[in-house]
Amino acid sequence: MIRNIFLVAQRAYLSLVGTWGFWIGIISMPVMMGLVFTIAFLVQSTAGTRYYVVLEQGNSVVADAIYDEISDRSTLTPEEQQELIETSIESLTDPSASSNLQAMENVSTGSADFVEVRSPVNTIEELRPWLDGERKVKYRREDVELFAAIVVPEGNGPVEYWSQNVIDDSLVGIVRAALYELARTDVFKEKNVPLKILDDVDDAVRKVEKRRLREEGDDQSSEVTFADMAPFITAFFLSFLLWLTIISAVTYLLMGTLEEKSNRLFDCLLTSVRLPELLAGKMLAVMFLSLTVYTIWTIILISPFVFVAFLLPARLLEFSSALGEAIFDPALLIPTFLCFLLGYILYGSMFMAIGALCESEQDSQTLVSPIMILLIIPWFVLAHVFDDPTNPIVGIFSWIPVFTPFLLMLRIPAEASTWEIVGQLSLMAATSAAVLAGSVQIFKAGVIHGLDISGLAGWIKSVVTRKR
Amino acid sequence: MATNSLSLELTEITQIFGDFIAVDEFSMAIPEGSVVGFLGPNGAGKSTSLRIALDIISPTFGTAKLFGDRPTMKIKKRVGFLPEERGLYKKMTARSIIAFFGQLKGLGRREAYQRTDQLLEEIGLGDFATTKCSKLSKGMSQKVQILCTIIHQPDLLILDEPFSGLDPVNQQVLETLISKEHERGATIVFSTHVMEHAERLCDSIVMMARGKKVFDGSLNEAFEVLPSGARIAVQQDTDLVRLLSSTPFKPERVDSADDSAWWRVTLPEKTPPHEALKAAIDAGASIEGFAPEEARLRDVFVKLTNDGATPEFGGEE
Repeated sequence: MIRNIFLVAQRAYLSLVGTWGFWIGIISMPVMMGLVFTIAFLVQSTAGTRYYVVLEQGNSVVADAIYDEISDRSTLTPEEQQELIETSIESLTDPSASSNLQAMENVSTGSADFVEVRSPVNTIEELRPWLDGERKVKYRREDVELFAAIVVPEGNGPVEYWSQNVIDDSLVGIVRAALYELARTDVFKEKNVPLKILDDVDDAVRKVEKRRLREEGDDQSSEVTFADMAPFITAFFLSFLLWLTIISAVTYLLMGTLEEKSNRLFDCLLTSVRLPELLAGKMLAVMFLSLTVYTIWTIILISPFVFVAFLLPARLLEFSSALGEAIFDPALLIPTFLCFLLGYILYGSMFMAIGALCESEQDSQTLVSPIMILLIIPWFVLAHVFDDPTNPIVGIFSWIPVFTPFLLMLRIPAEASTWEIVGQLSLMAATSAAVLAGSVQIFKAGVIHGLDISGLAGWIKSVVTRKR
Repeated sequence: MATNSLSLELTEITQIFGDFIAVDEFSMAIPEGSVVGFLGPNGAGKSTSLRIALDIISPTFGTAKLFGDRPTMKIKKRVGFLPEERGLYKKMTARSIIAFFGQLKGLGRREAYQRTDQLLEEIGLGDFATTKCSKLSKGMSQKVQILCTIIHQPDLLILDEPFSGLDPVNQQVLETLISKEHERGATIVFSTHVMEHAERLCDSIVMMARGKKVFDGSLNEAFEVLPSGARIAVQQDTDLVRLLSSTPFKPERVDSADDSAWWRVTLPEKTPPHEALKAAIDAGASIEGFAPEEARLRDVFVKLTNDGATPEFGGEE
C-alpha cells in the first residue's frame, strides 16, 4: 500500500516539478521581491539632490529653520544611524508599537537630500516657469531643476508649499518640523523659559517597560523580549503558510485530476492501485511540491543573511534565534503539525472531489468559487486574531472545523486550554475523515461512473435514499 | 470445468444504472490458457461486464471472480487491462509511463525499465522511448498503452476493443503481440466488433447483445448457427426452384449475368456444398458456374445480435 502511494506521489510530483512553468514560478517570486527591493533602493539612492527656494519677506528665519532641520536629519553619525536602524527594526517587529510609520519615515528621510537655492524672482507667479521645469535655477554654476518653492507670507498665515510633485511629502514634513521647532523656540523665549528645559524634560520622562508574569521557578526576567513574541509571530506565519499551501494546492489537485479524467486513465490506474492509495498519493505529491517551494524560498531568503550575519544588528539576530526556538517548541509544533495535516486533508480532498466532477477548467471554477470564499474568511480574521487571540468570537470561530486549522494555530501561543486544543483537533479530525470519505465517494462516482456537476444533486439524493 | 482452472468467471451479473439495465444476468467462464473473443455491438454491455470483472464497478447483482477468487488488488496484479477509453499522461515519456505501470503492478524499478526498453524495441518504438506521450502519433500511443498492459507479463490479459483506431499494419502487429502473449501462457479475453480478428485469434467466443449473452462456444459451434450454402449459376431461363423441389435443398435467385443466373442454395445441416451441385445436375440443370459458400462469423454475429440492434462491422479495418 505504502509503495503504491509512494509511486503515485512520485509520478505526480515529478510531473509537476519537471515543468518549466513550476521553476519559472518558483524562481520568479524571490526574483520579483529582490527586484522590488532593488528598485526601491535604487530609486532612493539615485533620487539625487532636490532643490528648493524659500520666498520669505525680511529675515530668512523660516529658511534657516528648514536648513537646520535638514542638516539635523542628514548629518547622522554612524552610531546615530545604527541606533536609528535598530529603533526602526524594534518598532516594526513590535506589534504593540504605534510608531511603525514614523520609524519608516525616519529611515527614508534620513537619506533625503534637499538643498536651498537662491530664488531668481520674488513672487510665486513669476516662479512658474521654474516650477514647471521650463527654466532651470543656478546652483554652483550649474543649471538644476527646481523641486519646490516655500512661500512664507508675513504674519501668522499658513506657509505655502508649491511643487509639481504632489506625492512626495518628505520636504513638507521637514518644513512642518522646522516650523514646529521655530514656534516652540519663540514661545519659550516669549515666556522666558530657557531652551535647555526641553532636554531636561526628555531626561526626566519615565520609561515604560513591558513585562509579563513567568511560571513559578522560571528565573527569567519578567521583561517582555523577542522570545515572548516569537511564538505569536511563528503561529501567524505557519497559519499563513497553511493558507498559502491550500490556495496553491487547489490548482495542482484540480488540474491533476482533470488531466487523468480527460485522458481516461482511471480504469488503468484502478486495476493497479486502490482508490484511497491514488488519492493519498496525489495529495502527498502536492504537499511535497509545496514543501519544495517553501524550502527553496527559505534557502533563497536566508542564505544572503547567513553570509552577512556579522553585519546584522545584534537584536535582529536575537529575534531570528527566538523565532527558531518557537518553531521547534513541541507545545506549538505538535498541534500545528496536526492542524496542517488535517487542514490539508480537509481542503485537499474537497478539491480533488471537485476535479473528479469536472470535464473542463470552466466547470471547476463554478464549484471552486464557494470554497475559495470560505478560505478567504480566515484570512480576514487572521489579522484581528493576531491582536487579540483571546477574543471570544475568535474562540467560537475556531470551533468551526473549516476555520480550525488557521485559528487554532494562532490561539495556541495565547495559551488556549488543553481541552480546547484537544476538542477542536478531535472535531476537526472527525470532520476531515467525514469529508474525506464523502470525497472518495464523489471522486469514485466522478471518475468511474462519469458523474458530473449537473448530476451531483441527483447522486446525493440517490445515496441518501439508498442508505435509508 | 473446475473453478480453479478458470481465469475469469462472471456469475449472473446484473448491472443497473438508474432505470437502464446495462447487463442482465450475464455469466461467462474463461478457462486458463484460452483466447476468447468477447463480441457484441456497441452498447451491448461488454465494457461494463469487463469493468465488473476487474472490480472497477460493483455489480448490482451477481459475482465476479479472477483465478477462482474475489478480484482483490493482489489478484489484479496478475491481470493486464486495456480499457476501451484509454489514455496516457501526456507529459510523461513513453519509457517512463510504461515503467510506471510496471512498478504499480509490482515490478522493481530496475526490472520495469529493463522490460520497458526490451518491449519498446520489440514493437518498433525504441527510437521514441524518451518522446513525450503528447508527441506520439495515435498508433504509437496505442502501442504504448498496450505495452503498459503487458509490461508485468500478466496471467490474464483483458483487452477492450484493442484494435480500435489502429491501421491495418498496426492491427497485424497487435495480433502478433496477442499471439505471443498467448504462447507465453497468458489467458486472453478481448472485446471487439471486428469479426475477422476474432476468427483469426480466438479458440472460443462469447457474444452479447442488449446486456444478455446470446452465444458462448467454440468458433465451429458458432458457424453451425448459420446453415451453410453454395452458389450455382445456371442458364437464365432455368427454374432451379422447380428442379430441386423434390430435394432438401432450398434455392434462391440472387444475381444475373448475361446468359446465366446465380442462385444461392441453402444446405441442410452437415451437408457438403457439392451435394447441391450433384442434385442440380441430376435434376437436369445446365450448370454454368459453382462456388461453395463458407459461413462467416459476421453472418453469425448479425443473425444473433440483429434482433433490433444496430451492429457495426469493420469500421476499423
